[in-house]
Amino acid sequence: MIPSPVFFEDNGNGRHGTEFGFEWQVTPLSYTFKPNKYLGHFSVMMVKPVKKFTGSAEIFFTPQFVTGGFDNSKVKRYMYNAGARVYFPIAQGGEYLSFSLGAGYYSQKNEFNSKVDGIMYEAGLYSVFGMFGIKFAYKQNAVSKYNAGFYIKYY
Amino acid sequence: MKRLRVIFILLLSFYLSGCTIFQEIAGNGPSSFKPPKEVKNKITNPVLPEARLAVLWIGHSTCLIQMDDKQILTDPVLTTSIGIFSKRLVEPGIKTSNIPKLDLIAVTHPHIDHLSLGTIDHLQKKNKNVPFVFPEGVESYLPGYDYNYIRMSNNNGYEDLNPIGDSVTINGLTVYTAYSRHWGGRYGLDGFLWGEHSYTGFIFSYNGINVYFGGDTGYDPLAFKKISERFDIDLAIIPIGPCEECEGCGNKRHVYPEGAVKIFLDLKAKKFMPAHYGVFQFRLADVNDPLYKLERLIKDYGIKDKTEILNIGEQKTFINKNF
Repeated sequence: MIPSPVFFEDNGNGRHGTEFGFEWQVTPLSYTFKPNKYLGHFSVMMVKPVKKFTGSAEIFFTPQFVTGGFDNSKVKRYMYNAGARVYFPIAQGGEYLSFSLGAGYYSQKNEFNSKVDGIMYEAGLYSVFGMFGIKFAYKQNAVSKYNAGFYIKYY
Repeated sequence: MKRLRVIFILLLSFYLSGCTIFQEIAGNGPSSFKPPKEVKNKITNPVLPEARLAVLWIGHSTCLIQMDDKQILTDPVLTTSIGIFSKRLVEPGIKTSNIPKLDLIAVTHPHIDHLSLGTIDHLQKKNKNVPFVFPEGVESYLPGYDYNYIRMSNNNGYEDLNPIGDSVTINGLTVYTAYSRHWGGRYGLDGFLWGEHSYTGFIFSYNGINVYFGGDTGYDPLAFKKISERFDIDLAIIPIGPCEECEGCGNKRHVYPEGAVKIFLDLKAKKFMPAHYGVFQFRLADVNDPLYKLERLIKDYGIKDKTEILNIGEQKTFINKNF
């Protein structure tokens, strides 16, 4: 459960900035499109790389934590996203390169402790056996709309 | 500066964890930027009508073995790099398009220098439903390509020293999993998590001819002798690397040239073909260091006439129909 570093947009009070934080990639359920006959279609919590990056769809839950908090937008430092994403291989069975597209729900709290939630979209590009990747997310109507980060898994 | 220190510590911890990928990256250096050495006069049609047993060394652990009318491809890696960062130093010994229709693909273990998803993806177009054998655990690294995947038991990593595991007969060609001492996994920690015992050697047996293919293995003073009690091995393809100084039998998981010679002698095989060297950089060693050492050893052991050292791309007939 190595957390992945993420940079969050932090705009507010006429100031623009970026904050650093972490997110955890939790996969409650994954469906592999074409596994070999010895592996099932479904994986729970732990998805072997070949099952994920050769083509799969998954439900994700991503807790996020901004280490220093949001200075400008005053969004609370704990947030989460949840949704579904699909992975497609590009090169070498996805081990050299693969990408993902996803959409889901985000939940944040603003400075008055009121819930701000809505739809989010994301895309990712992965390499080195799916150990490293870059991900972008856009959250509709959120105070912190954009975030970009790295995807890190080590197995 | 603090961030750099963190990155350095992270990379060092990955390297020390035994991760194949990070060791490959660390070992490459300047060779990563050179194109692979050209193999001249590559064979375009490797099917030899007069051969009963022939081998074309494609490089490293990838061999095209002909046993009468059967074509077997071992540890298929024909890509220009493994694990992205470790570049091939010498081209594959045959064009992928010139590999004939195969009767069997055999993968000894899932390490990146023995299994390339890009290669098997490419080969499946010409080899739909071809039998593809591998030891237990390798299924965790194989996509659902159009092969007839056959998982074989390897006695849980040959821990009980019973050196023969499963066997399967496919159109008259029998494949046995045979002793090797190595480790599984592909990425680093996975070898401990779900692929610890995913390694094996193979014996291919067809029309009275037996070929031992070691893949990657350490030496054991009993196991190979036990194999020789059961099989009359015509050809033993044995790894001789990787190694830097190449002194001694090897380590727990790899044989050096002397260990390979001992395996050959224990197997009582008729012919010995070294493999697993010459293509991928290992630390800072010359990739042919194992070969130089072997050339000295085969004289000392008096097995020069039984040893066939092939160049990459060279095909050798070991048994001809006329003899």
